[in-house]
Amino acid sequence: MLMPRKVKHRKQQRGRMQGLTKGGSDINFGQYGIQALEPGWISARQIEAARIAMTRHVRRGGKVWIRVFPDKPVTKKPAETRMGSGKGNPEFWVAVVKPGRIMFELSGVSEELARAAMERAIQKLPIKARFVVADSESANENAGVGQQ
Amino acid sequence: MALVVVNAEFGREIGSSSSRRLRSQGMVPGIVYGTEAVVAVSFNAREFRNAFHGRSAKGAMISLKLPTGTKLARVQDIQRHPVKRELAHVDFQEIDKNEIINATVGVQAEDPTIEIHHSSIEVTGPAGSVPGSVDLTPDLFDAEGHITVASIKLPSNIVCVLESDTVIAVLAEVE
Repeated sequence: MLMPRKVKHRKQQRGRMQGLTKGGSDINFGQYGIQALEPGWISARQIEAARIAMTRHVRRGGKVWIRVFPDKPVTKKPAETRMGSGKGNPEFWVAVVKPGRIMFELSGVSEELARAAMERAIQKLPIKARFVVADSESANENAGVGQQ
Repeated sequence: MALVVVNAEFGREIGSSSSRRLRSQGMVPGIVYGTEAVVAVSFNAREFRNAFHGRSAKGAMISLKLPTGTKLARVQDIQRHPVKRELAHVDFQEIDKNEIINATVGVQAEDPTIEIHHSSIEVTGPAGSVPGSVDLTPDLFDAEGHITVASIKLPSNIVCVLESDTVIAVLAEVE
């Protein structure tokens, strides 16, 4: 699973997820992508599950790019613990995603197969997302293609 | 292929709030730079969108109709809303017809048996000869079922930057 090799601080505050993505809203590497439509935390397990769902459906050929990295530690207090005594222990890692962010990219397969594979991957994610095709933005704009 | 004509106007206000007001009226702010002074322009979003319906406008050559006259320009950059994908801002680079430029040309195919691997190619040549897009047809396939850079048809004075054996598209597998 994806996680940082080394961090400066073991625990982080939760932060806010307001607004739209600042960058990463264009398909830069492949031909097809999964775009977030909601803000959320995507855990390393969810990223891995989505990747596996996609690559298993494609079977052979195709190249996958993961455009998000889980660099935020999430802490949890153990079950049945009284409040107080400091912050809990880091349990897992998440990527903070805002609407518009391209999370995965795929190339080297037909659009039909890519769409089917990415729809499966979207099912593994905790947020609404859609399938997008590179260089067809004007078409998407007119028809609202790919809305989940 | 005939050049797309974009009607633009001068004299828009500069700034984020005035640009936002402009967008709410169905216009798009833009900028023209290149050979002469930099000019801020605005144009109709719907007209621009319809002119490039279903294909990428980025890198395309256009005829920019301004109140002072018509200019040959290239769509250098397009900024869009991250989710809605509506046009937010467009950069136009004014160019001379005979100037040698590097341009990105979109690759498209209507035949479902053609599986495109490179959605665009880099070409170099005189600005006036750069094609709007490259259309792939099944007769371009070689014996191995590939369409390479060598087999695509480009104007004689336009050269593709990619190596001649680069595969642009393959024959799609039918299940």
